[in-house]
Amino acid sequence: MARLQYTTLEALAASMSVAGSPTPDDVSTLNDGTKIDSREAALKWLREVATLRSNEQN
Amino acid sequence: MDSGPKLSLAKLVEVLEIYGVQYLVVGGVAARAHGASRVTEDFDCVVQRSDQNLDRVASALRAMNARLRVEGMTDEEAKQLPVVIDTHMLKSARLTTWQTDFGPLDVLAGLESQKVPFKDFEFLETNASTIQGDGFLLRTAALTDIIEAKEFANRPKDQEALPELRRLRDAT
Repeated sequence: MARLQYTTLEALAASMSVAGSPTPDDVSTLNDGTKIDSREAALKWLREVATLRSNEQN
Repeated sequence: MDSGPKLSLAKLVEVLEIYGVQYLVVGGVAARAHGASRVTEDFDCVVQRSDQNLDRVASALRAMNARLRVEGMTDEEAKQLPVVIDTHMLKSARLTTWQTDFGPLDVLAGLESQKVPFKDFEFLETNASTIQGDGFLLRTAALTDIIEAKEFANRPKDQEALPELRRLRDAT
């Protein structure tokens, strides 16, 4: 078992305070590879999931 | 992109633990835990994909007021999306990117690499590292698996991070 060089989670998080923010290429990706890289793509995905959910409940 | 709340690692881990989520830390936090200095701030985790565990993930996300992180949308705009966080949604994606009240969180189905096309939780767990701090344990993917995933992704930020990660791997 490795010993963390930062002794607490707070210390580890603090060490990352200078880390870069998530980049624009960090986007949700569907199983078929579709990238959810816009509001329109997100809404389309959410509609598809809602249909799946509805079909299963019926 | 509006970055939203900054990472609060202890709270994120606490919520995942409360809900009993089976996960492995990968990405920036794992790289940092392995000693790397070049990381991004988001908390990436590979989760076990059973319905039961995805239900736990969904509960944890709801408890953290998770909203989708979408390019071109501010955090406030993303909060207005008609998102229902459940197993249906999580099963439909190999990667979901979230902003939570405790910082950015990415939920992955697995890691891709050249050698093994898709490494899921069960695969990664066989080589996972347990990293101990005071009063907590972090289960992270092995440094080798993180390196292979970055080699496969090969984005500019991955290319920047790889030399250091390889040095850390070779030093152990």
